Amino acid sequence: MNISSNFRKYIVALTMLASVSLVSAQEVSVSKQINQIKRNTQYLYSEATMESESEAMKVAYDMLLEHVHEYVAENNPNVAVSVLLEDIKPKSESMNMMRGNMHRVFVYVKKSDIEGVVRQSTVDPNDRATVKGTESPRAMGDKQQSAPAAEQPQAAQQSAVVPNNAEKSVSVVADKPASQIAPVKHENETAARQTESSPLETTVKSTTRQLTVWEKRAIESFLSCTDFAAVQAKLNRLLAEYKVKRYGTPDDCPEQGDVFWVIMNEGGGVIAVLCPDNGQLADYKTSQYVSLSQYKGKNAIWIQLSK
Amino acid sequence: MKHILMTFLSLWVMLPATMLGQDGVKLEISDGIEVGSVKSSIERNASLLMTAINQAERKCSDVNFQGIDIGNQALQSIGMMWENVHFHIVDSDIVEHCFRVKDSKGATVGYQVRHIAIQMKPLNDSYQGDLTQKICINFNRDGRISGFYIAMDEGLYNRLTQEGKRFDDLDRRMFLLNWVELYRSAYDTKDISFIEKVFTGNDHALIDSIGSNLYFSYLKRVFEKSDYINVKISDVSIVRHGVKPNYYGVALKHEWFTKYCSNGGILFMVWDFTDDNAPCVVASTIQPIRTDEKDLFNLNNIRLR
Repeated sequence: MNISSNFRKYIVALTMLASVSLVSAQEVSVSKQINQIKRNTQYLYSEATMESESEAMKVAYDMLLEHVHEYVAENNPNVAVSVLLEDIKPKSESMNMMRGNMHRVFVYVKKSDIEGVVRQSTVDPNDRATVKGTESPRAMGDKQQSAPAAEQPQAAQQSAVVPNNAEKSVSVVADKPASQIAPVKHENETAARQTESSPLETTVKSTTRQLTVWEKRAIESFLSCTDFAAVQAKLNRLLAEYKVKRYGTPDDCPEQGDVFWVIMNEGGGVIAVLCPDNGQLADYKTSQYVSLSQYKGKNAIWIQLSK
Repeated sequence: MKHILMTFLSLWVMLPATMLGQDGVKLEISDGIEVGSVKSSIERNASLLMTAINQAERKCSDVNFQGIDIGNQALQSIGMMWENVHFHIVDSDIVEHCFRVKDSKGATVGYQVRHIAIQMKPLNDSYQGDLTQKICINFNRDGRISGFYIAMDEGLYNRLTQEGKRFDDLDRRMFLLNWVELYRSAYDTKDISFIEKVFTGNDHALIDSIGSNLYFSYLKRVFEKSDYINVKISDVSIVRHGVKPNYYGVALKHEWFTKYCSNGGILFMVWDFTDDNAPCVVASTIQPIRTDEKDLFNLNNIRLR
């Protein structure tokens, strides 16, 4: 049977239209799958649309890691935990599709798979403290290094505790001390510290040296922290406001009796703040003289407040 | 017989295409807000708005906002953008996170749904930007639409979110990101008054004020004469002052072009967050794009009170 040329053209046109419909249907199918996963509360997901697939993949995974951190923190409120990207990636899946000339990458991970890769840390203040920064310098970090008055101390701080091994551990604090910042006198700060003499017997209640209003507020803000993340956030804020001049772990404390101590339980909840008083330490809440050895086994950081 | 067969084949091919072209858009929030009346309002208002946009694009008419709970600012923003370029929402079935917008005390002041894909439908050849864009829709605490603009890319959003959590000032960084998106949107909508405030509305002495004023005057003429301004914003950085933490330096590179001319520069601004409820710009400047990095303005160049 001879097929007329018009009929042949018609078939070709229909075939092309069908191909377009098929591609569109496939895209709809991927979108449908993506939406199904988004609706499923068993998954955490993220996506990015960028000019290159590799860029979209990187951004999507960065965002997924943020969601994972939030999920883990919500489900482990009293424990310092961390999750690394290299642990998440093998457990995750991805889907790619084009959006015009951009690459859309969708990544997701099952919540139950995260539990197996959560790393828990324990801290012993008497152990040698090592600190690790998990954050690489930011894109604008170079700019900051030429500006010593800017956010330099925060640039290398870590966002989670990373344990060395099961028994020995790392400190909760960030890596760079604030000593690199040139000290700047706060014009608003008034009244030099006043110290009061106090009896040497530890059983006798004694008063701590006179603290200024801002020092009391800074100390009390630590007392309200219930986990490591809160302590770290508070420290960052006080560093930025230059109320904390420097800080560190027990291992690198220059003079134990000359600094403030923030004592924390296993989960990072602050149980005491110790104030320096003539070379000795006094509990801020009870005003009693104490010794660091009374807090053996607890987490601790020392801080030096600005004058 | 042949005629019936051809008709049947045509319908079989065209029906999916027709279904794909339906105007209806449905938004569903996957997480970030509790189930309740506010969530329902957000989903309903966003769905109605995006459906209205797609209908208007198909009919080549104005967007009909009837029945949509939308504030004046968002309404004007969409209207002004629509005068210059049309677009349609790519997906008919959207599932997205909902982000809370918080103030400095951590109280929720609104909501945001981001990264909704749109396809630009230029009205003429003056549009030369990417045809695929993402939009961000803001809602107030009751779920009313309060903002609508083209969003910055996810990479920038993620970076600023991480910095905000690290430095415990997420609310401020999100405010500044929102402002950068509004600044970019001002080119889409040719909102010259918004841009005017950036360059001429500061109380403090301007850095390079002559350059800023000249730039603004030139831009105003371009807005009047051009159909559409294509703009690209990149290299956005937000730095908090180390000693005066209520001050933030915001730098960005922006390049814009039309069919007949192009320009741009590196914008640097200093924001004052002393009153978190009313952050304001205290200084701004614009420098040529090819300025050496060592000559770029930063927070150290500004004497703050």
